[in-house]
Amino acid sequence: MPTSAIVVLILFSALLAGVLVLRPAITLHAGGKILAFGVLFFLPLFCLLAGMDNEMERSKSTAFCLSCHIMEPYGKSLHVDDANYLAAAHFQNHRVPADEACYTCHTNYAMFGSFKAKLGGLRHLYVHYLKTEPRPEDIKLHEPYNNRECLHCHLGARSFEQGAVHNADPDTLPAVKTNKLSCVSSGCHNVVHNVGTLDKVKLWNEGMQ
Amino acid sequence: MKRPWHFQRKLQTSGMLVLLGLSVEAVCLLWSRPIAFVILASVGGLLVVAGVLLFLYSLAFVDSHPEVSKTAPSPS
Repeated sequence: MPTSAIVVLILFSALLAGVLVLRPAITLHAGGKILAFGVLFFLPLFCLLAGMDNEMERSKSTAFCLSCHIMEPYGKSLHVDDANYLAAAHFQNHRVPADEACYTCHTNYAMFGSFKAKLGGLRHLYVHYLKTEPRPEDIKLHEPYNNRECLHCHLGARSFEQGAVHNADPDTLPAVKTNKLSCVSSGCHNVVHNVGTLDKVKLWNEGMQ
Repeated sequence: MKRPWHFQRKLQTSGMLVLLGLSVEAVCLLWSRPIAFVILASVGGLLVVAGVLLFLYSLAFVDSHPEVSKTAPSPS
């Protein structure tokens, strides 16, 4: 449901609630009672659920994540003109949906993954408003990056399963698939955002070719 | 036991809570910032749920026709 439609519904419900506040005597009639039930029970709960669902969906967007000042360098890192930058390569080649780039890689693809991601977001807000924010380059993941998030898309893909480097050592692929060897470990795909060195790299100007 | 009077008063309070909650919700939906999500879920949600619960409480425990209750003869 689009945001504008929800806002219109909320304003309509608020208007009806206002009528009940100003004219409570209308509930003396059967029609008024039905109206009160709709306005003070059904509509507010529906609006609340629709609004929260809308906010949940919006919180998955890249723009939402980058609306925090501290995340700006991470947004910039998506535009690095270097295929070795893992996040940039995924974003620019649409290996992840460009409008949900952060969420796609940083959600947990296990049960309650989205819920855990939102709880993590609450922790970010807590640090942002009540603690001293770290520098962008000092931000660390809450826990080591789990290969499960990569394998959600790459498992079974030809480039992953038959890639020369992945198969150079017969132990590599099984170790990756069981999360014993991290995809982002040193010597593999370890250049991810690298926000500390962004001033030294060339950026890709999308749509300026 | 149903208590006589102030059903309409409770309805007004419930309506005010819902009205405030919905207003907070509308502002949060138009204000596209991460903190808006928290305010919508906490402040907006709390006000709306409080309004709805007060309305349900009024329906169940508050007499909506006080003048009838006051004038009606006792069963005994």
